[in-house]
Amino acid sequence: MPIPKGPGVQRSVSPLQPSSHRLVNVIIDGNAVSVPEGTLVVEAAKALGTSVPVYCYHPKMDPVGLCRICLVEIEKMPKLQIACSTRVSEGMVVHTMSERVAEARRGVLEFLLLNHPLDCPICDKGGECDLQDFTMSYGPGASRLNEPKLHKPKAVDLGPTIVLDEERCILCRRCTRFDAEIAQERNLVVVERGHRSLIGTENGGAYTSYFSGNTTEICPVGALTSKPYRFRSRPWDLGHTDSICNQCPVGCNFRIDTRFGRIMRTFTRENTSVDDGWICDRGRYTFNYLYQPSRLRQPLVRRGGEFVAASFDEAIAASAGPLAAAAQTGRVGVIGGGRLSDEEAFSLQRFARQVLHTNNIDHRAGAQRLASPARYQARLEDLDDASLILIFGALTPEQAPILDLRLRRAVARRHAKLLFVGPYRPWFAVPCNYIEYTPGAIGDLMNQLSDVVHHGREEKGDGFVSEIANELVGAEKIIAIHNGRDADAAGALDRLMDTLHQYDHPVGILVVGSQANSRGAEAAGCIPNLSPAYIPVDDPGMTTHQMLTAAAEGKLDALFIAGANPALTYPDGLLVRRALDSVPFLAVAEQLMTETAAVADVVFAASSFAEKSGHLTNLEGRRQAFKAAVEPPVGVFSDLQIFSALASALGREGVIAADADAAFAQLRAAEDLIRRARGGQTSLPRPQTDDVSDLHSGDAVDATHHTLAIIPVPRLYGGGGAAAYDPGVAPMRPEPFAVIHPDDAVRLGLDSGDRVQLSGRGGSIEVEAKIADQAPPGVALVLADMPQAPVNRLLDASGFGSATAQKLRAEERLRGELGSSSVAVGDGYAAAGAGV
Amino acid sequence: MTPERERRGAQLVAKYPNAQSALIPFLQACQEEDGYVSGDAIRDAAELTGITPAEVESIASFYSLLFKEPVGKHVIQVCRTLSCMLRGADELRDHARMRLGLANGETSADGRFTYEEVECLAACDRAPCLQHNLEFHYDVTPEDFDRQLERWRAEEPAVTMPAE
Repeated sequence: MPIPKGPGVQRSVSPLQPSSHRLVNVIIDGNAVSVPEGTLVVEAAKALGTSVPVYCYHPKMDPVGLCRICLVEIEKMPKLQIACSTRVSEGMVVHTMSERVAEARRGVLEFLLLNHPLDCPICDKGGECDLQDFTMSYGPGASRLNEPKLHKPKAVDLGPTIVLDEERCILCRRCTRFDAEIAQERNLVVVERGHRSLIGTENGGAYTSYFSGNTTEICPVGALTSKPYRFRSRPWDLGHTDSICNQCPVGCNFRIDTRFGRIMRTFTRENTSVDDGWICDRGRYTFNYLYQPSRLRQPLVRRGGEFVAASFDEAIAASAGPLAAAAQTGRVGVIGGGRLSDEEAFSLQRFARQVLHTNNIDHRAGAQRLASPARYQARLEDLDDASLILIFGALTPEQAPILDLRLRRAVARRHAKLLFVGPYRPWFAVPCNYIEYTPGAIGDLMNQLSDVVHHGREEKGDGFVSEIANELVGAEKIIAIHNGRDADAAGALDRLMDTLHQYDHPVGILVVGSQANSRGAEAAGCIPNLSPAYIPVDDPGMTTHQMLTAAAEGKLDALFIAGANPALTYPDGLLVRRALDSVPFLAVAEQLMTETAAVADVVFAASSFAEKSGHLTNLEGRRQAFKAAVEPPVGVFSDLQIFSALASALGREGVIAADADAAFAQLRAAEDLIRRARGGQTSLPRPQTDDVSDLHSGDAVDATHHTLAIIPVPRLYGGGGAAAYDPGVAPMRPEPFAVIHPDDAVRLGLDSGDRVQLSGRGGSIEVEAKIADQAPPGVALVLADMPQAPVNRLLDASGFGSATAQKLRAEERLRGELGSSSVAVGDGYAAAGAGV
Repeated sequence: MTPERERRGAQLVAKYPNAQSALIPFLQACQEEDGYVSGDAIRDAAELTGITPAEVESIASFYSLLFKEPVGKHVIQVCRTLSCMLRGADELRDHARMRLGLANGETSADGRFTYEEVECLAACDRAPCLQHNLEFHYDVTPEDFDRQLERWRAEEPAVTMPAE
C-alpha cells in the first residue's frame, strides 16, 4: 500500500544561493561570464578570477553589507554598489577597477584605519591580514587624522582560546555572525553602539564555543587571535602540511603549520563535503601533548616491577618470547586499531592473523560494537537536505562537532526536524524533539515503527509510536545517526530503513564511531569474525570482551594493545582491571603513558598522527590521506615499524610492511581482490558482537533509595585519547560531574555543586553534582572517560551500571584531598592518569 | 524570575504577535522596578523572549536610556555627535564635566546627578542640545547650562529617571 506523503518540508532559500538555475550574461571589467541569475556580484567576479576586496562578506554566511570595501561601479546605476549584496541580472556591466572604485576604496580604508592602532609589527595577523593587504593594494599611503586615536580595551581575555584586541577590530561582525549563523549559539555579540561598539559576551563572560577557534581564522584583521599561537610565529616562517584531524570520526581536513620542526598551529583546509571549512577547538588545539612530559619518547620494559628505559631492539626482544609462546598455544589476543591509520589497522590484524595465527583481534576498546551501517551509508552532505534527522545514542555536539554544525544548519536554516530517542534529555544547539526511551528498548521501538510504517496508519501502536511513524512517513529524506553501541537497535534500524526505502523515501545512516578511525579499523579487519573489507573468517576469534574475560580467568598468556586505552574506555572497568592484572604478558604501543600503558610489561613509544603518513577512514567511509608534518623524537617508532619488527622477531620477516606506502598497497590489493569476489552484494556482513543481555553482570544491586542507574555521557574535552593530556585544551577540560534529577537530589540531600561519591561494582568515583532534569529520575548522567573519575568502575560490559550515591561532607572531602581516606579499588589507574 | 515580573512579562508578550517584540518594553519595566537593567533582568528578558542573554545585552546596551547601573535623580545627557560638535558641544561638554565634577558615565556621590555623553539626540537643527531626564534643552550655551543647573539643584525633577 502506498503511503500518503506529507506536505513535505518547507525550505527557505539561502541568500547565498542563486535563486534560479537560469543563467544570465554579465560583463565584469570587460570579460563576459554566464552565471546563475541571483549570483552575488562578488561571486560572479570570482568566477572570472577577479578578486573584489571584502571584509564583512564571507562565502559561508549571509551578506550584510557593513564594511563597504567591496564598492563597485555598475553601469546604469548612478551610485557605486556593494558587490557582496548586489545580485547580477541579465546584461549587467560591472567595473571593479575604475578610478571611482579606487577612490571609494581609498576612502573606506582611510575610515577603517582611522582608529586602527597599526601595531602590525607585534600583531599575530601580520602577514596574513586583509587590512594590511588591502591597504597595500588599494589604500591611501598616509592618514590625514591629526587628532588622537580612539582607545579601546586591548588584550581582552575573551575565553579559554581567544585574545581580543578591540582597537584592531573593524566591526565587520564576521565572528558574531559565525556564532549566530554557523554555530547557532548567539553568545558572541556586538555591544554598545556607534564608535563605542565592542565585540563581547553577556556580562563579559567567557566565549566558550566548541568552534571558537574558527573566529580567529575568519577575523580579517588581528582582533581575534589564538591564545596558544600568540606570539609564536610569523605566517611566512611556517611550513604547511596537509593533514586530517584524528580527534573524532568526522575526519575534518586541516593543515599543520610547523616551524623549526615543531607544530605551531593547525588551520582549516576546506573540504566542503566533509568539514565545510570549519574545525572544532578539540581538533584545532590538541597537538601540544606531543611536547609534554607524559609523551613516551622511548620504549620501556618492566624489570623487577619497575619500568626501565630500553632500546627499541630490547623492547622487541622482550616481547618476542612471550608473544611467540602464547601464539603457539593460541592463548593470545590483540586489541586496537581505532586510533591507528588504515594501513596500521590492516597491518595489526595481519600481525594477529598471520604472525600470531589468531583471530583474536578487535579494535573495539569501548562500548561501541559497530562502526558502519550494514546498508544505506549516508554521506555527511546528506544532512544538508534531510527533512528528518533521527538520532539515538549519539550526542553529536560532543562526539562529532563538525557533523553537528551541518545538523544545526539543517534544522535552523532548512527547517529539518530533529528527533532524539534516548535515555536522557540531550543538549543540542537547535530545537530537538526528545523521546525518552531506555537504551535496551530502542530496538523494540524501531521494530514497532517498521510495523506501523509498513501497515499504514490503521494499525496504530502506542500513541507516540504512531506519532513518530507519521513523522517518518511525512519526511522526504531521513537520515539516522547512532553511535553503534546497540547492535540489536542498529539491526532494527536497518529494517526500518528497508521499509521506508521500499516506499521511496531517501534514507541514510551515519554511525559516529567512538574512535577517529573506528570505521577504518573495522573495514581493515580488526574484528574477530571479519578479515579486511568485511570478509567473514571461518573460525571467528574472541571479541575484546571475550579476550578480557579470558585474560581475567587466566586463559590468556599474552595481550598486545596498540593505540587503545581500554583501562579507561572499556565499560566494564572491573573486568578490564582484572584482565590487565592477570594476563602474564602485556605489551602496549602508545604515544602517552595512559592508564593501560602504566600496567604493561613492555611499552613501545609510538609516533603520532603528525609524525607519520597514512590514511584515515571517516564515519561516512571516506578514506583521506594525511602526511607527516614533523619528525618523531628519537626512540619513537611508527606502529608499522613496531608491528613489522615484532613480526621479524617472531620469524615472519617481510609479512608486515614497515612503511606506509607498502602497507597501503597491501591493503588495496586485499580490498580489490574482495571487491571482485563480492560483486553486487550491497549489505555488509556484521561484526561479531557479544550478547548484550549476557553482558550484564547480574551483580545484585542493593535496592536502597540511594541507588542510581549510571549512564555515561560523552563530553568533547572530557577525555579519551590525547586531549586528556593536552595543555592546549586543558583550560576547556571539564571537572568530572554527574547530572542528577531534582527529585533524586531532594531524596539524597544534594545541591548543585556538592561533591558526591558514586560507588559501584568496580569501586567508587567522586564527582560534582549538577541538578537538572536532563537526567530522568533515578539516573545519574556521568561524564565518560575522565581519568580522575573513571566512570567505568561503575559500569558493566553493557556500558551501563548502577551506583550508590553519597554526599561527601567537608571533612570527608578534605580527607579525600589529603589522600588518607580509604582509597577506592582501582585508584592505581587514576593515579597513572592524574599525574599527567 | 519573580512571580510579579513573570506576570508582567506574560502581559507584555501577549500584546505582540512575536515574543521578541516585548523585549524593550520588558526591559523598561525592569528598569522602572529596579532603577536600572540588572544582570537578572537581562537573563529574565532572554528567558521571556527566547533569545540568548548575550543578544539581550547587545540590544540593551544600544539604547542610552536603558541603564546598566543605578543612576541619579537627574540624568544629564550631552549630545556629542557631529552637528552638536560643530556648534560647540565640546565646550558644553567640558563645562558640564567641570560644573558637575563628574566624568562621562559617572553618578555623584549623593546619588542626585548622573552625567553622560551620548550619541545623536536627533535635535541637530537646534544644536548643541542636551537631555535632562526626558526633557530636551536646545541651543545650550555654558551660561544656559549654569542657569539650568541652579534650578535642578534646587528642586526635585518632575520626571525622575528611569521613567516609563
